[in-house]
Amino acid sequence: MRVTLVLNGDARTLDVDTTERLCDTLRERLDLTATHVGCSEGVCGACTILLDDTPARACLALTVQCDGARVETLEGLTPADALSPAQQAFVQHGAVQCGFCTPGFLAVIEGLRRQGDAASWDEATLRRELSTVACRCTGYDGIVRAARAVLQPTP
Amino acid sequence: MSATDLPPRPAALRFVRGEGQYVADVRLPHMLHAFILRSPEAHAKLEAIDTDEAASMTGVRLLVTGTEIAAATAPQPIVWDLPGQRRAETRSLAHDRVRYVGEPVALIVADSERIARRAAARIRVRYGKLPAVTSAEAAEAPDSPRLYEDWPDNVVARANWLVGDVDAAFEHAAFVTDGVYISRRMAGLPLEARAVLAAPDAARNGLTVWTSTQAPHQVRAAVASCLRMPEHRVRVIAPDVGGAFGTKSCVYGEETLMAYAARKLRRPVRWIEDRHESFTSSVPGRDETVTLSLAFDAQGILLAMRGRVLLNKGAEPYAASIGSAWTGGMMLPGGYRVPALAIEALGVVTNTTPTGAFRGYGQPEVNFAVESAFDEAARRMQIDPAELRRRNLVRESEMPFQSTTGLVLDSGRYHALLDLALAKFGWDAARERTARERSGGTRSGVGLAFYVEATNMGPSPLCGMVGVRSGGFDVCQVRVEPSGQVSVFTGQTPMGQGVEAALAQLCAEELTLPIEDVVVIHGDTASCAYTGYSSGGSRGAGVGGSALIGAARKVKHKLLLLAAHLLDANAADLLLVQGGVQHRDDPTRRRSITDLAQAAYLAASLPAGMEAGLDERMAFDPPALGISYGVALCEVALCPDLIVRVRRILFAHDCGRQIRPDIVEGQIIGGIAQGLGTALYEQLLYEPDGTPRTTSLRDYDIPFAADMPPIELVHLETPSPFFPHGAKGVGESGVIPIPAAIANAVRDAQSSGDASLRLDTVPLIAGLLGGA
Amino acid sequence: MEPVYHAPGTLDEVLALLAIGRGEARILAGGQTLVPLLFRVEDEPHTLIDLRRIVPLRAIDATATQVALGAMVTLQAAELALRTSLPQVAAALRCVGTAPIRARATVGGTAALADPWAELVTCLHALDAELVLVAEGRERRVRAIDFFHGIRRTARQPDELLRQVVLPLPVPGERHAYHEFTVRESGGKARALAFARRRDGRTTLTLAGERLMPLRVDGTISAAQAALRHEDPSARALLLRVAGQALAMLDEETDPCA
Ligand SMILES: Cc1cc2nc3c(=O)[nH]c(=O)nc-3n(C[C@H](O)[C@H](O)[C@H](O)COP(=O)(O)OP(=O)(O)OC[C@H]3O[C@@H](n4cnc5c(N)ncnc54)[C@H](O)[C@@H]3O)c2cc1C
Ligand code: FES
Ligand code: FES
Repeated sequence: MRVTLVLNGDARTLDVDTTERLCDTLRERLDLTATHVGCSEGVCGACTILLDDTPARACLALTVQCDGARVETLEGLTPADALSPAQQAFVQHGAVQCGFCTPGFLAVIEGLRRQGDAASWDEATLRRELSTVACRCTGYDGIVRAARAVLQPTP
Repeated sequence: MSATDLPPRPAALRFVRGEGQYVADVRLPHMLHAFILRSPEAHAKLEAIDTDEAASMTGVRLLVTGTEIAAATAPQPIVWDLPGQRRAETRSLAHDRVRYVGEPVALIVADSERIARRAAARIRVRYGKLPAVTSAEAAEAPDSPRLYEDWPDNVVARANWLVGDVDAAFEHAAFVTDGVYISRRMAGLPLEARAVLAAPDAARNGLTVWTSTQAPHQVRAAVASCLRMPEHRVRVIAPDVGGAFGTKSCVYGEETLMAYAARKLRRPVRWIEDRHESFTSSVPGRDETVTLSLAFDAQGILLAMRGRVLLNKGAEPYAASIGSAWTGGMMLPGGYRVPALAIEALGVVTNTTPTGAFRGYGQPEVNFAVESAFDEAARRMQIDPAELRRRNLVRESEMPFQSTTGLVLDSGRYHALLDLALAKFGWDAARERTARERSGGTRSGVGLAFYVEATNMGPSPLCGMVGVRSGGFDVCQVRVEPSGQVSVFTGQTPMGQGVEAALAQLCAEELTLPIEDVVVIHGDTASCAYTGYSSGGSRGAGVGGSALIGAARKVKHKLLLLAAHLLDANAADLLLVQGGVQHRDDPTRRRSITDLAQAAYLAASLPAGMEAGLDERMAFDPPALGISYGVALCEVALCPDLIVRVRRILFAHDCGRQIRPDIVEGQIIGGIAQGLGTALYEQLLYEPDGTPRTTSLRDYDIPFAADMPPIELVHLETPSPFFPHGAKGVGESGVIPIPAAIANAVRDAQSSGDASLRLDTVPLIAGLLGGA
Repeated sequence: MEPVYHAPGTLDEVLALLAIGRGEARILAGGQTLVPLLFRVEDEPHTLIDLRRIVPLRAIDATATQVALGAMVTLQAAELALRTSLPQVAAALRCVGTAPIRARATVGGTAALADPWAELVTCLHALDAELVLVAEGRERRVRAIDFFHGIRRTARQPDELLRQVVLPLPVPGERHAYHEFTVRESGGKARALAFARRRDGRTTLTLAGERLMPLRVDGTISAAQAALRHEDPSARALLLRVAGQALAMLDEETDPCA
């Protein structure tokens, strides 16, 4: 099947298998391995990417379903030779241990940032919104701190 | 130094850019893909396997069954072989019999994973059902189904500790507690499941195996022995590891299988564990029943302990054997003075996935028992549970203290830390407040648990004494490159805990270099130092760090000698400061490490007898374990809409010197999260016929961000006398006391409520919902 | 074999494909459940019919007495649409999975699956919703109670498409309360679900669980007790607890239907 994706800003036309998942196309076909696969059933969130600006599970979408869509992965959210503010916050606040969950969290936080109503959230709301990605290493405190630094910057 | 002032971990800088390289990210030309057909039966004879249709499918390259593997490979090695332990010739594929759902039955290698999966669906296996047994208690019964016909029963091994006159102590006791405390089976669940890629390696006429493991050298030994190859022909690489928690500390049949297939096909073969299969194919942990009786005198002084640790080992003796039960037995006295004790630890086989290591390794299970029993005793004596601990903890003046099972408590200020924690938590006030709330109808309560954690696993003689078939030492090599920067080669394997950053920091400190000048190379048996035990047992920074310090100090010594020669000075008058060696009285007489490295490698003018180059190694074998300790306090409320709401946790601990406080904090909080899962809801259940009830992350609840309570940490640093840097491990601390602390708080909250609820099993969800 | 993929632009094309598919054609909606099954080769259809281009299936049509949700309405869109008209249904939908799942999972996919722990299934049952099924040359409306036959079993024929679900709006004075139990604060699969409804003075309770399809009883605990006597003790205890909670919410001051 031939599909066209706007991948990290570039239109890409690809021939893919019908049952190929978006995460497989990204990882196996295009070598974009920042998108991790931790469960293949939508729970862990490691594979979360932005699909038309909205966080979505790359393990739960067939690539053929995404024909014509805008897909953004962590590769696309990473400046060439610097770190984005969210990436900096992750490093600074101890939000990263093994790094397997990190791309998923960064996609979710970018989605929340674009959505733009996180500024007034209390701790509980922020934690609930971040509860779409699992981290088995950090216990989340560092991730929540980093997310707050990005979504609720103190001027 | 606050966490945010520390230099960033180099690995973190890569990970946030998505530039980590996990096994599944490694792609090789001509790579093939494997799928493993697993048994749907818990216990059955393998009567016939028909692979014809699958083998003839387009794209299928290889199909292997247990008969071939039994003939072509040696059995999987046992790493922990206790005296008297029973054996099973376990291979990487089942032959004759399957003993658990998930046991590998056939290997399919194909052009794509999808083709391999489709082919697997076309393999027909005839199973002759046998009666199954899933619980350790049932497997112990004389009439239980047997897993191994040549064994007299289902017991893998047992160990005993007998000290003092226990019967007399119980006879004279003023208070006795009796309890049975169950920690159910749970999954380590690293977010990256396992993965193996094996490829022929023409240069060494052998193989390279990439695997997500904590123990590359053990995998190398296993693959070599199973394939009957010499070890120097096998190279094992552990690239970035996406979490491990003990799950990846043992060697697995899949490593042998992929190596076998790659050799046979002369092509790279990759297997990626699916989360579904991981619930039956990766070793789970816990699944222990601790039967415990404590005898106290009228003043609340502990007189004696009777304990039994029964481990459900699953279907195979496998890998670390009954190590977690043995560790639990040894750790039962914990930080307390126990004059007399009788302890038995044993493991039995059942028709379930073999259990292995999971963070805590027997320690949370016995901590849950002992700390629950202490609370029970305190309730009966009507004294503050904290006070009962105070009366029995080993005092600072008694350190180092040999506990009754032989464990040496190296150092610590147990009472001081306990009091500090109680004060910070506001223990007395919280007890009063929750008591008031309870009389007002809100079921809230507080609880605490004291723990000790055995860390810095090693001494090789101890390993040898208890049958661990790998040395307890660690080797580190420090190489100053000609340009003056340093490559460190460690046997440690980072799996997210950040040990590489701690090592870099220690090296930078020893050699007075900026941390950017140090690179730590790890996870490759071809380049890294040999380490038997590798990463596990909370030993990375402690033992690996000590080896590093030893090697770095040798480098430093050589730098001083070389500088003395070049500066025409006396080495005793020279100092290593800010990346150079200078004269103590005249800082202008100075040679930078870069200058010295160049001199060492040019070797044109070296002191007589000095070897060229600047490269040192050290094997460090710890003289003893390092015993970290601490106390967890928590406050809970029981709500109608949730089982338990943990309102807050205070965690006070002492792991000796903290090399990187940010890593310590990450380890503790991450451990607390897993402890919370253990305490409240994580469990792997089986149907009576051996069918697993949990094979999906949809059904296995782990904590997410919203599930974590506010956590406050309190640190004390009492250096260990046995390690040059004074550091002990902290990898398992967080997880150990949390189940007991939460259970004790729930008991407190329940104290005026329904006494029929069973709170002696974790996760507590079982007892709190009423019924199984 | 890889299935043949179609993403037709009209409903007629979908129905034609379903008619020739003879049960070997699979409808692809949000894919949140189907994609993992395809990945693990647990489902190997000959044909995949993707509904994403059928715009009318995304329609939400409200009248004074009912709201009709097209099959391809996402749970997120449904939640938004029902916040004022059926707030307890919206509350139930907020409990589904996580935001990335709700953004793609659909009303039609969820109803067609008929998982016992699906919030929407309990709501449809409790409210006496109707489901509209279409096939080439025929259409029928089925009451929820007749549509859900059992765990993952429905009245849908292999050539039928679930086109729409129709929810009745509350009559004056009608009250609703939804409650579910999950072991975690962050949610997850519901272990027990209860929807209480009081309409024209009569209260009903709809209960469902991990392994229990929705069951409607009179709105009292004793009626629930009697109806659940075959359940295992811990599942029953939990269901009763959740039922009690929903009934209590029904009597709370603020009108949950308002
Ligand atoms: C991590 C995770 C958590 C979840 N949590 C919950 C939860 O808490 N509660 C809950 O209710 N659900 C939950 N779900 C399920 C989710 O809502 C579903 O995947 C959904 O219910 C199915 O909808 P879909 O649009 O994704 O359907 P698909 O996956 O596309 O299809 C599902 C099935 O329905 C059929 N089908 C789809 N549409 C139609 C139609 N219009 N007519 C006939 N047949 C059709 C398909 O052929 C397929 O067999 C969860 C899913 C995931 C992945
Ligand atoms: S891999 Fe997609 S959610 Fe886990
Ligand atoms: S850092 Fe390892 S899973 Fe989050």
